[in-house]
Formats: sequence, structure tokens, C-alpha cells
Amino acid sequence: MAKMQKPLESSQSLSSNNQTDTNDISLLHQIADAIPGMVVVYNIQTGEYIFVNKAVKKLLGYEPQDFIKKGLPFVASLVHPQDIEPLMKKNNRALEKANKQLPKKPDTDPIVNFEFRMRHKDGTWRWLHTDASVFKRDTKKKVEYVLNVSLDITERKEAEYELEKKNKEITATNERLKIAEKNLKKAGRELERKIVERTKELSLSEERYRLALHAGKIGVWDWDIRKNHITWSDRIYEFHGLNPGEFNGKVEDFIKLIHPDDNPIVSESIRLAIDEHTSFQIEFRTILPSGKTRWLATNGQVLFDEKKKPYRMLGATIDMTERKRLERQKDEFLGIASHELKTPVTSLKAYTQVMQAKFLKMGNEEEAKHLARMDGQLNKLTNLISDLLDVTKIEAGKLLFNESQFSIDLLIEEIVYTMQLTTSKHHIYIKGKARKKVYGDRERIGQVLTNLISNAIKYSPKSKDIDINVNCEDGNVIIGIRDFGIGITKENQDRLFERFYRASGEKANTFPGLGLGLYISHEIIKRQNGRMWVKSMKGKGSEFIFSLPVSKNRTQQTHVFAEKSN
Amino acid sequence: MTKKKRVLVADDDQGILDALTMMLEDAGYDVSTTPSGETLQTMKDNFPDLILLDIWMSGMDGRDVCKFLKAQEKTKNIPIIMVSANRDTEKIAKEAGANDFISKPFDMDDLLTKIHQYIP
Repeated sequence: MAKMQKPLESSQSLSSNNQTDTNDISLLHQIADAIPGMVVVYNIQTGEYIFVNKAVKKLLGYEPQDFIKKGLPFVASLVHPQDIEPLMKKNNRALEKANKQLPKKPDTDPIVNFEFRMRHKDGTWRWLHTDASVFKRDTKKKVEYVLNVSLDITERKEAEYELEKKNKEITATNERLKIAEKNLKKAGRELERKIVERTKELSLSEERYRLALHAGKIGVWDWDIRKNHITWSDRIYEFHGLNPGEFNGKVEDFIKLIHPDDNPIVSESIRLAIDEHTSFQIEFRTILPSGKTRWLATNGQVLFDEKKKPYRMLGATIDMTERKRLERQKDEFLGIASHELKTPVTSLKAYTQVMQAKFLKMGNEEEAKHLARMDGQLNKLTNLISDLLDVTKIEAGKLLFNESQFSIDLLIEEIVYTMQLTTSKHHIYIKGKARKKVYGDRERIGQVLTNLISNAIKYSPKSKDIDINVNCEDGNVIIGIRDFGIGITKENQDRLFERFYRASGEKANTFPGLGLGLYISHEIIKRQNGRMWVKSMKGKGSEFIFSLPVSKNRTQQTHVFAEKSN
Repeated sequence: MTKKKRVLVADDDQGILDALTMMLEDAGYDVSTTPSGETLQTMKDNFPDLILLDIWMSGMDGRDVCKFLKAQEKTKNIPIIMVSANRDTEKIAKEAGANDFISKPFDMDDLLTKIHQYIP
């Protein structure tokens, strides 16, 4: 406890003109120590503390003696760096004011308060509320001693700080909410506008789609695979001769509507589309409740989920009964027409040959030659007619094969011999031997060789050699007919084996033919379980290659679709 | 002088009948013709030595005629060569029990070679 002799004396003289009893001073000490706040009296001119109560220990952890011994510089060093400057400014202003103006009545100097932080001995910061007042003036009436009464307001300040923080947070949240609300309203308006726009677009597109389906007589179907439910448009009900709603949507019931012969095609196409993730096209017959059949063609697509499992299949269907009827009629017509054409050709050939024989007998060799040429032209006509007949048979699935085991090497030799007779310009070389028998229709395979060699001759007018490359690998005989002629562009190669396809280009019209030979050859090889392909480069020539299985139990190519029967 | 061998040509096309007659007579055969398959089924005697039989004939299918003749005791040994514009003539001929076949249009030499095999 600090001794306050001198200041106390001064205090006595200051506070009262009457003599103060030492008991009273002791009482004042006791009162000062009992106050929860820190009470200090210091000399503002010297920085010396003359009284510090015990509360300094509680507030800042120091003994009163620490302040008294070390004085104002030490106490000032405990003030928070951020608070020291404003504190000093306010203090100086108050001091200046107090020095200029004396109070009208004694002891009525105004009390100035400060709120600032000081460092506790334990290192923590404490907020203090200090009321400062003039304790004593010197002889010149200047402020000499100042009385500070400080209270610890750390809790209040922290509460205030927390409150302020919360308030700030609330304000910020409110701001954010306001912005969000504004954005939401804006987005809402935008969405509304888009919905109106899209609805308009959708109804237009839906109308367009509906009209197109109606005009195109197209039915649509949608199969939910997981629920096993097929949804049909009204047109599909019509195709199947049912009233809307008469079909329960189950796939097994749909299968029952399909012609039994076409069932495998439909099932296999769907399976392939799922396995190979491709779209599918199927032509099949449906049996109507009346017992009649109707041809339908459907294009479909399978949709897969993220685990690559099919979950939906949808597509469009058209009625092609009439088209099928016309196709059949056309094929029948072509069949009959080409058959009928052969009859007069047979007569013509017979007459030509009889006359040729007669002229020879009579020694008229020149006339006989003319007739021989006529006979050659009749042979060409016969081949064209035969091609037409073959095409109609292929289309009708009626191309028959007389299959047997035969030597392919011998057949190649025979055909090459015959074809060599037709050209004096070219030389046909057989390169390699199969040394195997193949199983198939000898005449049809001979027809393929003839066709490919005659093409090689036809499309290599400026080169001499034609190679027939023969070899055997993996149970297949592979035969390549190589020419060094005009070649085929890549884009034309893809369509070579189509019916009636003829290579386009500046010279296309200079090569005769109906464009059926390759189609027929390709179909024959395909139906003999073989494969045909082409290697070619424009200007460098072409090689048409086909492979045929050696063994009777052929597995080289299995046909997914059974041939359609009419 | 040996008796000429007789060839019967059955075809519903008169042009073919005329041409074949000329051709076969030139080759030294005695030729008779019929445009109908029914005539063949009603033959009682004077059987030909060989028959050239068209598959498609109006009124009757050459296959049925062939099967009928091959089923009759008196006619079963007459060689029958089936003639057709059909590429599948060989198959049809085999099924009908014919001895041979030739596809229309044919070369005279080929036909004569075939006929010679049966009636030299």
C-alpha cells in the first residue's frame, strides 16, 4: 500500500480549508481500496503517482507500488498502441481546457472520460473506462494532480464487440438476402419469359412433328424396357388393325402380332441393336385380326443409361404393304420378261447357227463370219437377260444353288481359258494354286469369275496384264482378280456392290453394262458363305477378292436374317 | 439306208419349234413337234427316240409331263432332255427324272452333242 503523505496533505489543503483528521485519511484509504475500480492520483507535470489503490492488482495484475515506483511512462507503456494516440490527444485537449478555464465554483472541474485498452501483467488486454478529473491545481492554478477512477469494462466491450460483429453479420446477411431476393425475382421473370417462349416453340414443333407424322403416315412407338411397356401412337394401332387401347403394351404380346416367319428377324435385330449399340431397321409382317398380313418397316434406336444398360427403345414405323406388292410385281415382271426374252433369242440363235452351218457347207465363208458375229451379239444379249433374271431371283430370295465339292483350281483354269479367247489385248495369268476343293455351286462361282475377269478386261483398256491370285488360308480359298486399269475412287468403292450401281465419272458412260454384274457376284459369294471385297486406287487398277470356305460345314459368315419368302 | 432317228420337240413357242426343226432336220433327224404337253401324255404308239421337253408350257408343266412319261412302262426308256430358259434347269431336270438338260438359249453344237449321247 502506497504511502500518500505528501499528496494527502495537498489533498487535504485542496479538498477543504478545514483541518482533516488522520483518521479521516485512513478512512479515505479504506474507502479507496474498497472501490472495485482502480483509483489513481498522479502528478501530470512530473508523471509521478502519489496514490494507487489495491484494485490495480485486480484490474491489471500489478501492485500499487509498481505504478508509484515506475511512474507515468510505465503506465503509458501499458496502453494499447492503437489507443495511445487518441487517448493522449483527448487528454491534452482536456488539460488545455482545464488550464485555461478555472471552474466558477471550486471542485466543479468537469470529469473527462476515456475508454481504452491496457495490457494486464498476464499479457491480455483489458478495456478500461476511466473518469479523469482535476485533483489539485498548483499555485498558478494549473492542473497539477489528476484523479483517475477506472473500471474494467472488458466484458462489456467484448459483449459490445460480439454484438457489433453479430449486427454486422446480420446486416451483411440482410444485404445478401436482399441481393438474392432481387436476383431470384429477376431469374423468376427470366424463367417465366423463357417458359412462355419455349412453350410456344414446343407447341409449334409438336404441331410440326404431328403434321409430319400424319402426312407421312408414320407411327411412333416407345418401349420402356425396365417397365416392359410399349406406348403406341394411334397410327400404329391402325397398322396392326387394332383400336387405340386394345394393345396392353407388353413386348411378348407385340411379338405375338408378328408373322411367325419374321419373328427371328425382329428378335435378332433388336438383340444386335442392343449388343452393338446401333440403330436398327426391320421389315416384318404383322398378322391383322382379320387374318390378313401387312408389311411394316420400322427404324428404331436403343437408349442406354450411364451403366450402359438399355432402358428405352423408340422408333418410327411405316406401312409398306403396297410398296412390297409393287416390288413383287416388278420382280415378277422382270422375271417373266427376261424369261420371255430368252425364247425368241433361242430361236434367233438356232436360225443363225443353222444358217451359218449352211453357208459354211456352201463355201460362203464371209457370210458365215457375219452370222458368227451375230451369234456373239446374241450371247451378249443372253448374258444381260440372265443378269436381269438373277437379280429378280436374288430379290425374291429364290436364287437356288446346286452345291457340290469341286476343284476350284480346275474351274479357274477353265474360265481363264474361255475368257482368254475373248481378248487378244490382255494376258491373263494364274498366280498360285488353292490345291483344295471348295463346296458350292460350280456354275455360279464360275459366273462370278467370268464377271470379275470380264470387268478386269473392260476396265483396263490400256494395260495388258490381268493376274488371278489364288491362295488358301484358314480354311478359305482366296481368289483375287487384279487389273492395272482405271481403278476406283474410295467413295465409289463403298457402293460398288449395290444393285444398278455404275461408277460415276467422266468416263463412266464409255463402259457398257447394266451395273448388275458386281451386285450378282457379291450376292452369290455371300450366299455361298463367302466374302467379297475390293482393293483399288484411282488410276492404278483394282483387285476384286473373294473368299470361299473349303469345308462343307461352313462357318465363315452366318446370315443373321433369313431370306424372305413372298 | 438306216431309218432316221425321230426327235419329238415339245415347246409352246412356234419360233423355237420351227428353228429346232430346221436345225435337227439339217443334222439328219426326223423331227416332229407339239406345242402342248398333253399330246405327250396321250401318245399310244409311234414313240419318238428322244424328247426335247420345254419346262414352261402353256397348259401343262414340263416337269409333270416328264414324271408321267418316266412312270409309264412304254415311255420310261425314251431319253428326255429338258430345255428351259431357267438357270435352274439342271435341278428341275434331276427332280423330274429327265436324262439330261440344256439351258436356253443354247449353241446348236452343244445340243447336238447331247442328243448324240442318247441316239448316236
